Amino acid sequence: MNPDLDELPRMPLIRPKISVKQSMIVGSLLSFSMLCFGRFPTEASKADAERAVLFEEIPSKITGIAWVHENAMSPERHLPETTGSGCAFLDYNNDGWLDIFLVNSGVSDFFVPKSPLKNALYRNNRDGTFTDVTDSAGLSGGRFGMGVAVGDYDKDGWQDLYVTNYGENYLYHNRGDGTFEELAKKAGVNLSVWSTSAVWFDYDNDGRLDLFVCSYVYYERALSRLCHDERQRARYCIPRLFKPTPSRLYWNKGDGTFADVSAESGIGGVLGKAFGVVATDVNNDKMPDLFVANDMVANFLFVNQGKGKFEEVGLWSGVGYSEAGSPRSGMGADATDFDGDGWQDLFVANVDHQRFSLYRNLKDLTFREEPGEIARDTLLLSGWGLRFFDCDNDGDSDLFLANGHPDDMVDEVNLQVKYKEPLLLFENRDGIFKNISAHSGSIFAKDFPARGLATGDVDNDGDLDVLINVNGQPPLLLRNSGGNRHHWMGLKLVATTSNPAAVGALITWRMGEKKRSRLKTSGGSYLSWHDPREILGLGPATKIDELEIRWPSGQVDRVFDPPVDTYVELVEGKGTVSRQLPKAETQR
Amino acid sequence: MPGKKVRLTYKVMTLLLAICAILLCPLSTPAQTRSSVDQSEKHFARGVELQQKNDLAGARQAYVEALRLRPGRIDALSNLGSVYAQTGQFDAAIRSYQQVLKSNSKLHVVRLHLAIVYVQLQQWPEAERELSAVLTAQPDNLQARHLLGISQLKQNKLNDGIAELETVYRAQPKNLAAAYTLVSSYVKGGQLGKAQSFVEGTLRHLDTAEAHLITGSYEMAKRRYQRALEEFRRAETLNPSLSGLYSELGHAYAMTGNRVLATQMFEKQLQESPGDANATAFLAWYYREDGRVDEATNLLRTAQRQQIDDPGVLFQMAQLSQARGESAAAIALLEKVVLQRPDYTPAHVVLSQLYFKQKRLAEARRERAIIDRLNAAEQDRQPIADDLRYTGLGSPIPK
Repeated sequence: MNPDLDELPRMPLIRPKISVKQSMIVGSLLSFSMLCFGRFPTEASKADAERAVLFEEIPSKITGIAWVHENAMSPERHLPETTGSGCAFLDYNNDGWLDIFLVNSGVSDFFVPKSPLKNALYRNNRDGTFTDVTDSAGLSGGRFGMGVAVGDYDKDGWQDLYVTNYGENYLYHNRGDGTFEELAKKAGVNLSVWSTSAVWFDYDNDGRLDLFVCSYVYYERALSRLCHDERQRARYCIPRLFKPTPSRLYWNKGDGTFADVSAESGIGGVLGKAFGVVATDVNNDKMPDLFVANDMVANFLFVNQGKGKFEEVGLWSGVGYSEAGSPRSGMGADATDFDGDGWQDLFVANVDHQRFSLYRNLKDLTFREEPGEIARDTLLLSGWGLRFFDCDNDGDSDLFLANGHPDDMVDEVNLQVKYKEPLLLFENRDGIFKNISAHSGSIFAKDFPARGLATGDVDNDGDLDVLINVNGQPPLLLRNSGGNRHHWMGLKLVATTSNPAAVGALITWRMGEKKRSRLKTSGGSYLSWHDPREILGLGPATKIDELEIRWPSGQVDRVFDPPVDTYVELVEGKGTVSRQLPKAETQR
Repeated sequence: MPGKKVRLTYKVMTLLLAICAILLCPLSTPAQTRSSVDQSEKHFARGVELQQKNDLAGARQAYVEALRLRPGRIDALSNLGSVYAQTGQFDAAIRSYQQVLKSNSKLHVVRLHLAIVYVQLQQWPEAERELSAVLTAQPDNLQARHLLGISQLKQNKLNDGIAELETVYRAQPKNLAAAYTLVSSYVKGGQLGKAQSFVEGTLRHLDTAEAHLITGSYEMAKRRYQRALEEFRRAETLNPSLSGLYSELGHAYAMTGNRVLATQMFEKQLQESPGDANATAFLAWYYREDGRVDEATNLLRTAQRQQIDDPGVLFQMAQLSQARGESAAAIALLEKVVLQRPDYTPAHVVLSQLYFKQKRLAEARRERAIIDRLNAAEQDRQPIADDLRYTGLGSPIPK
């Protein structure tokens, strides 16, 4: 049944000339020096180094990404300067290659840039370089940007963008010709608060993408005057001082507009300081739930009750507070089934001295926080962007963490905490996360004020690369080198009845006796959006015997012996896969 | 903390008791022979002599012999009580003193010594009862009033304790021990304005270990942790054996993010005084977080043996019980914590979760309502110095 398949041409990004062997030597030296400085308290071993995937920074002079984030840092120290912005991998022109969107700050009640600032859309030139097409696309923005969520809300086959701001949000409708039209007000989603992360998902399973928008705190310029240190220098006020706000849920009416259903759904009935969100299904009832990371107040777990209602169960589920009963400063959040038991586990990154939290799903709507290397190695860190993804295509979820303390003057307070912090990579080994940062590239030896993080296979080579928006600095594009050592299959799900992003689809792939599954979640990380395609890692296997998709609509499609080491498209209800070909250069 | 430990000057006390013995006018019964009376006197005198020479075993034997020959003589009973107290046989000491007071309830010196034994045993309600009785008869007894203040502070009767200590300090403005205790209690009671006048007016000009310790405690209360650390370090330089110093140093290190040194300091404190509540709570928390569950268990068992009723320690015990799946035990401990600290949100959080798991839904909801109320109050709280520290550093000590 499978069509005749050709090898998908893959064009690796140009990278510094260093062989894998040389990289390992460099990696080993770095790991030694890092261990000496206590950066990564991990058990180094030759085996670790040999199996490691390397993440290599692709310099801007090669990629052509000249854009730099401006965090608007002022002597007055306004809180939005600390939070940074997000980024996205998306295919805005449907050419089969991931493009890059970066969010920037901009005009606000406390900041007028000396020269206009803008968000950036970089088109993938399919040769490791990118072209800035922001202006022609009409995506420059101009407001004080926070996050981005990508989804085809009008089901026209083109990816649209929702950009959140400190201020009024944007909804950019993709016209399909390389340009966008801003329709937030017309669509009824021009929320004007301090929005942060947003997520597209289909909470009522009507086949259309609805929108959840995290709202942070009530903030305005005058409030910054609250906080001065003993030397009368302005300091960032901690967020406790600012009032919590309700997040918003918008129901997609199907006519290009949305209805604010926050109140009747129960979402708006609780006040939080929301930063991160992931849509997942924590109780396997086929209805998407929402896990929301809150800053300094308890996290929310909104469980979908059906009929448009959600119940917030963070306290009793054990994910609202720390084990010691205290709220933490949650920032980035994600979900995955890290232990392969068929239940979604949760993760939230916190601020320094709180450790990051990995919550194991106990299958009764309660969770237990797991000890281990993640908790151990994040004691002094503050985490923002993060993502569970299979970095080495062995079939399970690894974890990438982007860190940095919010306060640029934290070094003065003698907390053993720094403003710029290292990135971390944890490999999932049978449900136990091991810190492999020391063996995963020299980038892990550097420190950054990292914020938003997105994953995507930007070079179509079958492993996931990483994009990070760095507060007040150029972004980082990290190429995954070696992740495709294992066989893989790239999967683009094309819904016909289900929601266009196939959020809630359960993907199961079997290799002999070994079965893996993955729920298609939505959102996750911080202010950012990921490659919508799924890369299924085969581990030591060479082929997939059976691929099964359980769509949110209830449709089940099965494909036997699908092609591997390439991207395929699977259309809901067809039960076949077809190779997804990139369009020819001239068709761009 | 100064004043926490009541050190008895037993030699002085023994001499006093010898004088008391004369005043106590031992009475002989008609049945007793002149010879046995003489012999009893002889043994009593010998007992006093041996006690003065710190031969406590000999003294005890002599007093017992004196009492055998003249049962019920209260001078020997009283001195025997003091020997028992000196040798750590507190129950026997209490029995002796109580026997004396049964014979003559107006012997206030003996009652004071009984109270001191209760203080040593940290039986604060009993100590308070006896000290109040002493002060009813002897309102100018400043030693009794000082101890009464401490006993009340230990029972969280902060205002009462502070009132007693203020009286002592007014009568003895040069009594630094009373000043230290008073400032400590101001700090503990959150009366930082009063503490400030002491600290700025007096303590900052003194380069004594105690002054730096109290000033450090004041800075801790003001959440100026770095300054506190500097004060504690100076106190350590001046007198490293100052009672409670390492607990405070550990706390300051903890709140400035130096977990390694904090752990060292707390461990040092517990070597010196295994019952230190702050050190126990912090270390148990650290150990549990680091997965050193056995060490946390041992630490908390020690605290349990010492019958420490501190809410921070009880909360750690509850967490450990919860981790072991002993929900009923955890709930019982948490109920004690919220009784002592009704505004301690973390205890309500864990309690609510445990009630929920036990299907005690009404109680779970009640706790949730309390949490919501406390969280709202926390949101409305006025900014404090700590709010300038953008950090997630926490403390296991209930506020």
